[in-house]
Amino acid sequence: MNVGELSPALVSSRMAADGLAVAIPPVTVRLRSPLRQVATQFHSLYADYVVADASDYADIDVRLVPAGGARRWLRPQVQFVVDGVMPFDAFPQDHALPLFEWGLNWVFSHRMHDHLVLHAAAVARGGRALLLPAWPGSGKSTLAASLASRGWRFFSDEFGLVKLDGGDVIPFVRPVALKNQSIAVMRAFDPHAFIGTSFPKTRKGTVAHLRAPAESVRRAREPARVGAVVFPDFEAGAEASMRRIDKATAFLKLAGNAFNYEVVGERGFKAVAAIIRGCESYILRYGDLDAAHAAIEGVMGDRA
Amino acid sequence: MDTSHRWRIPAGQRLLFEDFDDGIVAFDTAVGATHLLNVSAAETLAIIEAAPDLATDDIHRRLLARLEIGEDALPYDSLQELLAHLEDLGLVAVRTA
Amino acid sequence: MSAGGRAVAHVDAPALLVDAILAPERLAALDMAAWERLLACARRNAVLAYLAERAMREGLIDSLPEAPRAALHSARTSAARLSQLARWELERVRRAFAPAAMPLIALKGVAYVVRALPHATTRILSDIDVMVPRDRIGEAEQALVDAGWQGTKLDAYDQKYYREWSHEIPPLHYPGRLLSVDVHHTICPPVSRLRPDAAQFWADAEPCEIPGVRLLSPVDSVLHAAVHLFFDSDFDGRFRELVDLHELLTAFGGVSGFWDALIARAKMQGLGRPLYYTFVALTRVLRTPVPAAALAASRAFAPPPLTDRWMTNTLETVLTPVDPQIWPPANRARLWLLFVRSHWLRMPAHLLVPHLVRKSMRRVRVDPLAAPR
Repeated sequence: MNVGELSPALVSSRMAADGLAVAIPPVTVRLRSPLRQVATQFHSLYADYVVADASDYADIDVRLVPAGGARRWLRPQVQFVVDGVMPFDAFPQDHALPLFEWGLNWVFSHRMHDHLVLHAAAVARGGRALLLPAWPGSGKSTLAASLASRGWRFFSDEFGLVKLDGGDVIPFVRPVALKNQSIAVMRAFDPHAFIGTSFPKTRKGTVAHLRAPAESVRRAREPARVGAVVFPDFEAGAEASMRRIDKATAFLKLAGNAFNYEVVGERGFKAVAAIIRGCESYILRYGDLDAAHAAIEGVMGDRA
Repeated sequence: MDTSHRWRIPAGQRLLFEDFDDGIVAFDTAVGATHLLNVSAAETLAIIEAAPDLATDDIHRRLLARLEIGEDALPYDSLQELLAHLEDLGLVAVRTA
Repeated sequence: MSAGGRAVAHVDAPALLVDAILAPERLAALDMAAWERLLACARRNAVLAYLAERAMREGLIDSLPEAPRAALHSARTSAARLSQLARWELERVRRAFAPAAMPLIALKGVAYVVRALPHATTRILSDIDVMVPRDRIGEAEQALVDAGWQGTKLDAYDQKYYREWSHEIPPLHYPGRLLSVDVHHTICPPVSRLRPDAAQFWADAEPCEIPGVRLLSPVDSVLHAAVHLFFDSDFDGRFRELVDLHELLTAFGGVSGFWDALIARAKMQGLGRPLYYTFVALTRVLRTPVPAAALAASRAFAPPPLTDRWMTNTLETVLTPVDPQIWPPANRARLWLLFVRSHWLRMPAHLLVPHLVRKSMRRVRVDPLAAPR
């Protein structure tokens, strides 16, 4: 049964009681919160995800609880609780969902050291994954979202997960957090895509979440091999250019990009080496999504 | 010339190498550090590993020979600096004879 | 299975955790619901990597279900990395001290790593602790600063706390590296009622495989850990410290003469009370096999019977692992505070409360938007 097949009221009552458990491959997440809007927003964004039994094993258990204290009537706040600990400062209660999304990312990335966790977006086609490592100004999330809306299978806009044994890339399909102008850009690029509530004045500006394509959610347990590594570099007005990078340089860029390269040690070194040896790496300069897509076709195109 | 410094690979060290056209990436498993080595550094490590306890000037001679370059291309001072740097990174160990 | 979400069965996770530590073979019998509670409890009490190590030592880990196995391996991997970084940081400190021939004793976590104690690579370290002679601590601080370490930015209150009341200079941090360095000149803060003779620690310090670095003797290591368990006014992490003591006594307790030496040293150094409570806590919470003779001897260090009864019960309450299922959590911090203050801290109440409030306010909050490292 999918989340969307439950009524928002039922989602809300479960979250307020023993929690709503959802399979978000590769993990199961249980979420508890008395806040009504969390249930409603979650219901929209995670409609295509499979509901799990709240009493079964969950990898990550999250509570979003109203924060106490004297301020709670004036400016209600919400706290993110995981394993009885509140790792973050409170957020305004209206921003509970962005807090959940960011907090879940943080918790997840700390528990995945059986993988090389790249700070990268990932999409795939024909069993071959395209890794889009992040760096400031990369625009990776918007680029990945746009590729997903044009038929690429969406893996993640934040995490490139590479298994340390074998080197497969696995998805962690979640809503894409679009920020500021990217929201309008995506609306224009794909008017049919579902974008949820806008949250103004977060620490990252205005944030809204793009629902992941249902097909990508459905196939979220299917891995892929790495087909290419493309470091995107967005510059408004720039013509698209795809430049191959030499391998030692690419190695260091990719290793430096991973969240946990140093933590996983030798296995991380070998995983990066396998990726770099197994495919080409590029820097993609682009000012326009369609041109970026065309350039990507150029390096990922023919081989299915 | 320096015959007093003797260089060797630290006990328990295990390095992994990936050799690319534009450089050699090395991983020091004991420390968990990754290094980009140029050819001089990689060859120096190979020389020290093959013949432990060499003096600095021995290494210099062998390095020039392996790289087929002259003293002006890789002066003695540069090698001393390289060795000091490798020592600081924990890639080689030194004793004073 | 259930359409309505039946009530989550309550599992006594703290008891499960203690059992798992003492008898890891019992892990094979756990169902998945119990696994989740156990892992969450272990994580909350900072012993998840330790649990993984215990399971590995017993040869069990590969037969565990996939999700717990992955969680255990992941925790173990990140803790192991921290101990690797600790070794490196110690090496950098050694180099910085070498020109001045600064005597150096490695303490606590990094010392356990150097000793290669089985649990050493399972601790979540945020810094390394080293001891230098009291009359050279200024010189030590300067040597590190000259070599590139930077002092933490502290306000005047905190500077004063560190320098006068504590036994540490403020932590030093090398830019770009993860672990800080805490430089000490003794093991008990001057404000405490405990006044061991630091010269004795130096006299009995042992060499190790790193030239220029020494370690506290096994007996002194245990006493240091005992003081640390009971001195620190910060409640979080007490169970983890207790596990350290359990491991230390397991590692050293088999050596002939150890227990007699431990009692004698505690008596000589005026550290009998922390040792007594250590035995109480270990036998009650972790069922550590402390020899009867040592237990009997330690009773000479006990407080008067009424106090003893209250303290013993309090210890058991506060040192049992925290159960993260319980929300909101029970406030054990207040109880701990009372215990600590009544025993160890000379700080008058009006100073103590502001200090602790500031300390708890400084509890590290992470930015979920920052890249995790």
